[in-house]
Amino acid sequence: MATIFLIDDDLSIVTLFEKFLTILGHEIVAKAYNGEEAVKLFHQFRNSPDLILMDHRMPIKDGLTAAKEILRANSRSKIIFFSADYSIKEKALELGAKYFLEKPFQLNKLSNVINKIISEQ
Amino acid sequence: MHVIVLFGILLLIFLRIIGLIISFEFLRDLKESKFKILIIGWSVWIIAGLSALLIGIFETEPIVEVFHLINNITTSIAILYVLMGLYSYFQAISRKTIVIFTSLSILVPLVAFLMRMFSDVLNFSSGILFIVVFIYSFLPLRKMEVFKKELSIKSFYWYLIFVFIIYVFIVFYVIFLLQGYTFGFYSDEFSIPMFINYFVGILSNFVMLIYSIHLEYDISKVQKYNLRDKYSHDLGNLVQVIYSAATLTNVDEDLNKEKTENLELIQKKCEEAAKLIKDIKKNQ
Repeated sequence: MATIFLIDDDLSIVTLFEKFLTILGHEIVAKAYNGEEAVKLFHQFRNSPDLILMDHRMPIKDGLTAAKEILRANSRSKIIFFSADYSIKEKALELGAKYFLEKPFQLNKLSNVINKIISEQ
Repeated sequence: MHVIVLFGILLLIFLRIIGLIISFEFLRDLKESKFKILIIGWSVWIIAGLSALLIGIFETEPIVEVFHLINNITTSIAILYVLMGLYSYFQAISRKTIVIFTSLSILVPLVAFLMRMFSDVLNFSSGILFIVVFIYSFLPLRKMEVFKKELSIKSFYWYLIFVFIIYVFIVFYVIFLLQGYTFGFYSDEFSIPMFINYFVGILSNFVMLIYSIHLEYDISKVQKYNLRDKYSHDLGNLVQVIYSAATLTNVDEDLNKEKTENLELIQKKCEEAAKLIKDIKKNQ
């Protein structure tokens, strides 16, 4: 099972994803509601989480910018983007994201992607 | 006044009225300040055309000179405002810039006229006109990213045609002025420069109109796309919440058959909504 850092500006999505992932046995080590908060929290981690679930369109700092800074701090970070903004898919993958999920998606799909990436470790 | 001049001025007024109507339509639909600048520009340009017609009607020297002055000042201001209006698609024009250029276009020819330097008035107005045209036709090239991001290649081609025609116009005009012709060519006798002046003038007004329509069409298309993008994004987030909540509730083993069926219906409809949202995004 994986340690996960969850980032989305929509509180409902964060709450629901947290519940779902906890049921599956994963541990949500931190949550952030914008890109800037995410980068700050990431720098405070003693151990980097196994996975980072990142939204893109967020206030203060967007997901792509935050992901760039996180990957600069630790290039081995595994980021899964989930966004309703499909146009950033290519940029996210070029940046080094492991996967891009287009909202809205089935929770089972998220679970499959997480399992796949964890098994690659 | 020669028939070419009369016909040329009437056609120019007609084109400017079309420009004014289009700007009014855009202002009514989009309520952006750039259309107010364009409306002032086209309106003053119509006045410039009317004052040119009056030059031909009156024969008394002082009155003709006054109409010449009005024609020069209004033409300078009109071209200044229309070009500023077109440039504001690329960058907002400050009030200070508008006030400085407008004051210069009015005060300097007026002072020169009052000091009885009439020929200097004509040269000065032409000079201002060339500088303004040069600045505002050249500036969009420095904003190429706007053409690349928000405008179509068609707009860019019309911009190039527009720039080409007005530069041709300027070159001819300078040559004609150096040969001793005066602003407006309001003569009774036919001359090739007179014909070229009105032909290229009408052509530049026509191209300017088409260019402004293309600019507006492109910008409104981008705004429409952005709006669609925003709504499909927000809708995507909303459906994600409903979809996830339904899936999580369905995990509960104590639910009766009816509730499970209802939740499955919600999930099915969310799947359909997700497909619909993706289709909307693809059609952008």
